[in-house]
Amino acid sequence: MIVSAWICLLSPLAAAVLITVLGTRISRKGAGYLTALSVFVSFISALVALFVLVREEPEERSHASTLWTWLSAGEFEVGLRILVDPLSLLMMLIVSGVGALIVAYSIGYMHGSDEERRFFAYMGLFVFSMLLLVQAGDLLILLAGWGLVGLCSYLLIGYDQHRPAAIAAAKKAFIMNAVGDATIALALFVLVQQVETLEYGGVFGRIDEVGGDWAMTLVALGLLGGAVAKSAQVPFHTWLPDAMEGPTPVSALIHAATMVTAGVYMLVRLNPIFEEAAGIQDLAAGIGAVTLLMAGLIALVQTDIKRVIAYSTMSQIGYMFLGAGLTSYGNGMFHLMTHAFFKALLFLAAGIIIHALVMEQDIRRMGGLRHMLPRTFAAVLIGGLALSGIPPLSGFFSKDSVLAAALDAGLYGQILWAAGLVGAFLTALYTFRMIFLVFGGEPSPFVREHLHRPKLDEPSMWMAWTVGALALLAVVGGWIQIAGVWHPLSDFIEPVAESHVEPTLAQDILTSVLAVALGLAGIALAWWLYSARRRAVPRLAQGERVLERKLFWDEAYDLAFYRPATWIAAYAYRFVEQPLIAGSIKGLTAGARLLSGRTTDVQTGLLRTYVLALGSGAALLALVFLAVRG
Amino acid sequence: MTTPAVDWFALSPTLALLAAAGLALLGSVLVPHRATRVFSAVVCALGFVGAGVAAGLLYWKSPNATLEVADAIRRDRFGALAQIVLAGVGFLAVGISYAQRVRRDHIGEYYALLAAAGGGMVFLVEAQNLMTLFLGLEWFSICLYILCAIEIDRVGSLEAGLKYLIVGSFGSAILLFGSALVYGATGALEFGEIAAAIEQGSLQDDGLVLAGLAMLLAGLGFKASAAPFHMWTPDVYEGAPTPVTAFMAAATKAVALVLTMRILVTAFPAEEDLWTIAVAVIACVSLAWGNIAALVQRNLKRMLAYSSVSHAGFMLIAIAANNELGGRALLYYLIPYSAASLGAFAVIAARERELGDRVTLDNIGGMGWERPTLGVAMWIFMLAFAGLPLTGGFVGKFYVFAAAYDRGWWWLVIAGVIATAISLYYYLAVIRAMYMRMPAELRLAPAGGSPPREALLSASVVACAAVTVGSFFLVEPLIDLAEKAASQLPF
Repeated sequence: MIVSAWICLLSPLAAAVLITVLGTRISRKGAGYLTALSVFVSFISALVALFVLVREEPEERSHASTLWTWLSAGEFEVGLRILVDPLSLLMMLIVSGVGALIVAYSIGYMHGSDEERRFFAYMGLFVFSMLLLVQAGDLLILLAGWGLVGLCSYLLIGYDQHRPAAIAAAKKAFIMNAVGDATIALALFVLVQQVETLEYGGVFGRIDEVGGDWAMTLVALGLLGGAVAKSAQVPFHTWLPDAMEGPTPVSALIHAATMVTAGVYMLVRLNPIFEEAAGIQDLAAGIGAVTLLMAGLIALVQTDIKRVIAYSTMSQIGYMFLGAGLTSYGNGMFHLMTHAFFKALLFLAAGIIIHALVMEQDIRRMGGLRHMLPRTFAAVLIGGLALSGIPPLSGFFSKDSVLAAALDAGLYGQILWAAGLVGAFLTALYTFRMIFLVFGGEPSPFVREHLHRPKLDEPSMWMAWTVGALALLAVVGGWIQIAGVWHPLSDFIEPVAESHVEPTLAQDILTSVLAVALGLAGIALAWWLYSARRRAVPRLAQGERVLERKLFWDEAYDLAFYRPATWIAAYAYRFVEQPLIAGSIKGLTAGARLLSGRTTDVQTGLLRTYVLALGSGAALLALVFLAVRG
Repeated sequence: MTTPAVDWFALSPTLALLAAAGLALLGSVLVPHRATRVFSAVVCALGFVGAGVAAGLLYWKSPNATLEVADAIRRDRFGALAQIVLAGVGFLAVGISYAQRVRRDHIGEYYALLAAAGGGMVFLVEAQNLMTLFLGLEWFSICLYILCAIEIDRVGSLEAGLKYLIVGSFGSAILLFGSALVYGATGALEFGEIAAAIEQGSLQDDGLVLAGLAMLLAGLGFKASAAPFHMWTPDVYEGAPTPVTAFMAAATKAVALVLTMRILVTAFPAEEDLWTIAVAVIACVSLAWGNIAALVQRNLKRMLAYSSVSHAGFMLIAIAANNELGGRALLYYLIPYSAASLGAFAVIAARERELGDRVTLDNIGGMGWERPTLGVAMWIFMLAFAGLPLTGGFVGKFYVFAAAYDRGWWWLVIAGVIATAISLYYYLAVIRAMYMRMPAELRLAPAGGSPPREALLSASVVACAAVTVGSFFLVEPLIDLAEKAASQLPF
């Protein structure tokens, strides 16, 4: 089993390396096939590992394997160690399964692009990095995976390197994530200093030895900082909407299905640490609630189809944070899984629309597409209903069980529960606003002029069947766990992360009824507002502007960091850099050169000089020795 | 007087190389001219392989150190590990030498001398008394004097040989004088007995012992090209045929440093307070001088010569630490350093053969694009010299600093770190020159057209790069080997 886990991990890396090494010796399409195949191999290996694992006793389902140990100093070991247990296996299946579908979709989507090889090499590298993150056996490898997915995200957002907007977005994403990486690294320093190991089992076993609450809080806070940055939660969320500058399959894979959920995975994986620092765990839940409301509101006024879905992603990850923060780990992971299905579906379907409309992304210029792209319409409808939590689609089961768990978690949980219900209403509203604007009404002039119906050729077929497969998953994916009836997924996760909240049947039913009612109300309101194309945005002019500026987050960052930094930098340059640093560096180099010249002057090339140096060196040594001891 | 018992096994690496040297010489007479090159190179390579295998066996079979052959040599893992490194260096040096334009009637001698020099070196790292010390030192030095001058048609080569011979003789004389003084004071030749004699006779403050120790240090520092005894190094490295330079830079330094550690730790524990400081000061002088002088060099061989002076400084830090961690650090450091050194000079040799001229920072321009394999390899070697991660150079410096820190000499760590920072300037300058020159700037015209690519040289370079990078990833096993070896010295 451990072998299949290693194959799962290394197969996408092998594809990426192979494409890089082969260069032009592999055809563009061949690169796509190779990467898709490698990720599919990963998925099969993960399945094999799953079948072996479920046949073992639940307590024994944890297997660590070290490929090699790089350095060991005392108990602290650095090596490539992976851990296969129910949690990592679930993530492996999601990453490689959804990843395989999205890479296969890319074969069609990227067809005819200039640098397909580079794209697929990056995709392979990303899947490897993400698998490394979830399979990591200690916190150091986790951090390595964490950094690598950030790098891949950077590379893929900026894939279209001729567009300044894409480059700017890539840099923004990278810098924001680097802040998170740094806080994790700082947390790890404290952790090593406290417990002298980074291996999961060792850390969790010695968590009691951590001296003082402050250390525990610092560690948890640092880790949470990384999770919040990677998962685009408040206040580190501003990079995700801009990240939509990347190709659509990238948005689907990295910025919806896998990488951005890494924060949730971390909250669940490191639950013993977060439970020791209960305040930080509550903070995580609160951040989730704030984010889900805020992103839901902003999504109401976005006009770029991908940005609408991006804000929706932030909002849904808010639900996962809420669940994981309130120790309902199984439900949080469950929502992570169904979200991966329906959100990838929405992105890929949006990709088909964008493709058909010659790369237009503004929903105000779309309309009436339901007759022209009927199958895409069906796919988006399924994704939208699942997202809005309408039964029997997958989102209903997972979102409602997260909310029901919140109801069981005391007063704080009940407040968050209320926020989550409002969020459910908003979700339905912005989702169906998008759907009605894009598909409803009569075709707009722009659509009439520019629409290219997808041809039924081979590249398009790749896009079609993968969307179909994801639509199927978005429908049935939720049936794996039905609150109050059966919950195999939570049971599977249980040995790794034990939930501490257990909602009663009444709470489940109450939550479901309310959530579905609010969801339907949201759809109805959206229909009433947008179906006849009466308005593009709600009426509150002042609130509208605030939302359109995304609650001024970018401006706030500008004011808080960028302006002071440039101001200080300008003054520092004038009064410190120029006279002091530059002057001293010039002086230093001049001095070094002078000194260097002197040393070579001594090097006369004459034997007598050399012999003199040797002889006097020996004599000096002898004299000093004698003098010291004399 | 009876003949002492001879442990042939302990001498087997030396014997393998001596046999190879003899065969290569015979071959140059008996084998037809066409086949001399192949024959002698193969014989020499086989000699190094044999020495390496024998040293490996010796390492494996020597869990406890023993004195052999009338206490003249010490059979231990410390020496055996150094022998393995030396054998590897010699083997790769054969690959680098193969396509060198040596005069046809000198080919047999060339490889015979290379094997004989290797034999002297693997003998020397086992030396346990003052006589074998001097014997081994002269043995390989004389071979190297000739090798430096073997391109007798080139003035530079002759000059290098002559300079090395004269200054080297002076260095050997100092070493011999020092040995005589120590012997005079203690009446002992074997290192352990010297230590015992100093201890028993309370000779710590004896003038003869102190002067002898100083002269021994100077003599060994000369061979290790530590400043201020290094002045021959740039001239000889520049003038000698490049494959010989590669061999010398890696092997001579390794032998000298390993032996320095052995003699200081075994024979002079009583003078520890003196020599640790002295070695630390020599290390600092080497670091400063080597790095600063390298800054203005345009000629790559000279630059690397100064770089080798600074690396002697780094390894002397490990010796100055005078603890087991230092022994471990020195033995580990030798592996990536030797590989990077050999490889870097091999790349220079390749360029030299292409251009038919001395290699400078100017005419190496664009090489990274023309010869991607060599370019990437050179990149790796420079990063290893600078001590950046993903190369063994990083781990080597890490252990060296750890050893100094362990002793409590943090000022030595700071000196090392500053030296590393300075060294980045000229190491990165090489990479910059290879990759970042505009094509228009280059105006390259290889003399007489590009020679065919040399598979053997490229293979050696790739092997060196593999060792340089591999030693980073395989730290654990290598450090384990070094630890077992270092634990056999009486720290």
